Amino acid sequence: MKESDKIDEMLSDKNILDSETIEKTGEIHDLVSDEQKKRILSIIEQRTDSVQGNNNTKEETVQVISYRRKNNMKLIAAVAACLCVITGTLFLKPQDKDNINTGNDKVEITTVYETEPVYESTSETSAEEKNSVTFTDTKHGVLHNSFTEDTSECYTVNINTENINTENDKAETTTVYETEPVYESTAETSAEQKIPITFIGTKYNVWYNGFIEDNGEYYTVNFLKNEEFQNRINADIREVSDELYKYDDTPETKSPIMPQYRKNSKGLDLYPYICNGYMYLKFFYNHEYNHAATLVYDIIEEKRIEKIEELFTDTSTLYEDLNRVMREKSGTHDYTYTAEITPENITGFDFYDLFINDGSEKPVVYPWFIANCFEGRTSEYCKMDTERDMRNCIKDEFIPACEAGGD
Amino acid sequence: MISDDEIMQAFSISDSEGYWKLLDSYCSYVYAIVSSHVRGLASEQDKEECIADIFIETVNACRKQNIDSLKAVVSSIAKRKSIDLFRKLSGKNRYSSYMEEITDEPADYDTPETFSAGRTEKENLWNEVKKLGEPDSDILILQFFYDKTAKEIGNILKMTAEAVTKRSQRARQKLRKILTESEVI
Repeated sequence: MKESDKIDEMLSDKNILDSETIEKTGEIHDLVSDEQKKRILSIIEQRTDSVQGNNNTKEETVQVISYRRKNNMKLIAAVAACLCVITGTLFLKPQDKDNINTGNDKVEITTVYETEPVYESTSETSAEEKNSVTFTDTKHGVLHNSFTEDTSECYTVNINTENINTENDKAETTTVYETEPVYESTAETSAEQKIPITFIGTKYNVWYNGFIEDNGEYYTVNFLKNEEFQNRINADIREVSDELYKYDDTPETKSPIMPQYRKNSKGLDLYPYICNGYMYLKFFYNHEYNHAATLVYDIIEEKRIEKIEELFTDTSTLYEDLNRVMREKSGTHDYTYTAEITPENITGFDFYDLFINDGSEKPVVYPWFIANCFEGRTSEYCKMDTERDMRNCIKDEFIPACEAGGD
Repeated sequence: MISDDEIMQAFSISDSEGYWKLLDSYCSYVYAIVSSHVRGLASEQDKEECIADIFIETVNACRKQNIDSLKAVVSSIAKRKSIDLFRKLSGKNRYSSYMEEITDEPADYDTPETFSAGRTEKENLWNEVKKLGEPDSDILILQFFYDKTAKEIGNILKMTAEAVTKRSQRARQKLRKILTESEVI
């Protein structure tokens, strides 16, 4: 067994970790996402509702028994509960992840029945007094309470089992936002719509989201000192965006950049990363978080990096080394070595990922290639220092590089 | 962090409001306790249902008597409910066996010595993990103990998924080096 496999296997033994560490992790970090919390709240609401429902049933039963004693009549009490597993996942995916901003948003769940329940009364009172058949949904079942007829003398079971066809019934979930999502923009629409600059994860990584715009047509970089260089970057962003937008109008056409993905009407996300004097702008299709394109810049030299070779000081054995390491590491990470890497088949790159078109429809992504290939010898081979702590980048590079709205 | 009083006040407004505040404050803590008891057995859905039951019981307990510390009540109910769930799930799996597992080969049981040696190895490993410091130790705990994906860990630790994977990889390399040097592996 390889040592790495052994380490993973040992770490996978979950019984070894002490409960103190486990609980501490739970106290420090928010391990449960808002979506999960909403699902839990929904379960709580359903269960507390059903508890109240059960209490009502008890009261009814008491009334029924006293009624029977008083009138000495035959009473047939029938209790039927149909527990049918409702298939179908509750998709809590919001329309826009930026809109998840309140702890008081509520999830409303309605069940759409394939066939409408049929209301039938077995009582001899009148058609108007027919009770409506009610299905009370719990996560795991359907509670049918169709036999509560107050006007008849006897309770009668009248469940039409044909209606309980929950396999094709669908659970529809709607998120009701406490407050309407607020869209802010740095686009030229209005000053009020300027988005505050936010640093995400500044403790360990530099991730700047100062230019997420829902109102503007294009994302714009607005934090560099050199405006001329900044304008060039924004022109590149426009060009790439246009290229990606183009495929939005012709859904049957696939992007040549990432042939398997198409952009939909929800648009793109653009994430900038800055490290060691380099910046890359990574476009994602925000509906699936799929990588669409990357732009790489040297913000010290103030130029765009168009070829991967520009990231290295010595390129004489670059492809040989890349292929060797990728072949050796194949299968150990999220990738399998499928084709020889050549200057021609590289369709994109950034600090972490290398995109190769190996001839198949789905391009191959080699993640963290610089870290894998050049760790330990970056100073002699690679222009960027992959060992460097990202935290330093904030004060050394990122903040000096920002001017407009940098505070 | 919302105080216990604020949570109880929220219940006087509405149950939903109260439960949401309670979830906001203690959900992660309860999730950690549940996960520690039912690791490898329960699905996320099982855990969510268990957590819901824990909070319902907590609120019922609080309504019946005055509670000094909500955390203490949550903690004890969570541990009890988690053990119940563990018994339920392990009982379900106890009687399921597969034909392919039955062979003519003699059973390969661990001796107490090998079991103890293996356990010491793993304890040393986790001790080294804790020594790695944040965020590397947290990443490995979330990755291997809580089975979180890189993206989920990224959301929790406010990092990118890429950075998480890279740090995890480096941390394991570091561990391998430490443990090789100390001849643990």
